[in-house]
Amino acid sequence: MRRTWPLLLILFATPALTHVPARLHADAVYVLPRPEVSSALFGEFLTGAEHFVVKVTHATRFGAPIEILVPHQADLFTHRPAWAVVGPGLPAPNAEELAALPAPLPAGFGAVVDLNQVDPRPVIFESVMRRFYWTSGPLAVVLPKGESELWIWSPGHTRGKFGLGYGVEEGGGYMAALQEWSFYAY
Amino acid sequence: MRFIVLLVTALGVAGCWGDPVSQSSGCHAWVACIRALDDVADAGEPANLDRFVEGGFCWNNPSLAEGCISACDRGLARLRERNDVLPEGCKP
Amino acid sequence: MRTEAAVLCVVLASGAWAETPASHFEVNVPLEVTLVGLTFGVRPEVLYRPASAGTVSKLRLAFGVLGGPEQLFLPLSLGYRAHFRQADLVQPLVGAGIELQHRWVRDLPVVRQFGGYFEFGVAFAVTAQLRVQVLFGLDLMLLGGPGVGFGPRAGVGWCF
Repeated sequence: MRRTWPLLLILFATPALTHVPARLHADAVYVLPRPEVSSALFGEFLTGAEHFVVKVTHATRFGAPIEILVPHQADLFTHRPAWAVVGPGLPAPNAEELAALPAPLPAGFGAVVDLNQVDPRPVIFESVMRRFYWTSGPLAVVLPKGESELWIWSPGHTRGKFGLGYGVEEGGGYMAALQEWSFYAY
Repeated sequence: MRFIVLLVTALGVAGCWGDPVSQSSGCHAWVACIRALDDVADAGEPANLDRFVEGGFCWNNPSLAEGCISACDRGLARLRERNDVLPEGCKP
Repeated sequence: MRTEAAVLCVVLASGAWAETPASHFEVNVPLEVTLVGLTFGVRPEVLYRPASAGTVSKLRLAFGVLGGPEQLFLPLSLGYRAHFRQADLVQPLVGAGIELQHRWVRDLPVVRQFGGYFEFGVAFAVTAQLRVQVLFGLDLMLLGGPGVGFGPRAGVGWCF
């Protein structure tokens, strides 16, 4: 046992070095349990018409980078899901963004919208799952105090998997990933 | 077996996952711009931007820094593009 | 068929799988699946025993070519392997070393990671020179992006 401690130490130290993974379902609002910690929220457009919603609550206005990822696979090249932060106190989106939103903005709400139109699409390597993704490109956003929502949808009604990267402070790890391993890893 | 233990220990000691890096000029400018816009809007309580400032979590390793740099650059460009009246702190 | 099986049993029981005393080199060509960052391919390896025959210590050099739905994976490994009970039918293997991993997609520069690997498994002696190996590998990358990977590999090897 004494001989294996360095390996165990390293393996169990790594969990503090990843985003917290979670799986989103279009038919249920996901409440982000620890919005101060970074998350990797994965889902799949089965019809292309889904609207994923994540509720986020912050005690003060909170700056975070947000990006949407698509697996770097040939058949997903045209799959460009979009995301928006929707909440009170946010700026009004422009006309194109407003028209693209999957649902009307609630009264008094604004939105920061990224329609995932950066071209050529940037590619990133994610070293924990060892996967390559196309990214919308991270965007620094200040989320409002109190409750806001992250919306994810597919403007082109394309189908396929996606991951939403949110935040910086890493507090997740391999153990959490094991719960939905096949969904996150492949 | 001793070789394996030594190797693992050496890798563990070396395993700093990359050296910390300095805050980027883009993130410095984005934070300054958010603060300036808050002052103009009299936003009250300052936004929590801890991760983007010098010594923040963004700068713990090169991989995190890369994402933050890109996020700040895009965020700053958007602020400049979408605010008709830019406070001094947001100007290039 | 029964006769062939009986001959094989006799050959195995006679200890004919014992390693050639003079062999210092070994070449293995295992097929591999990496389960973190899904890829499939081959990872040929050359092993060299610097000391006298029958000693357990071998140096290992391996280079893999593996492809998957998202990437081409080219790992280069240098390390140590302990090869136990070389005169038996079932021969335990355990090893460790350093590894440089290259990952390639069309629209991004090659991603390089560096760290260590560990392996354990068994070799089955088919003849004095021919072996079938089954191993499980685990790697821990530290530079170029942290991460842990693992996967099984199996193939044939030749001692000379």
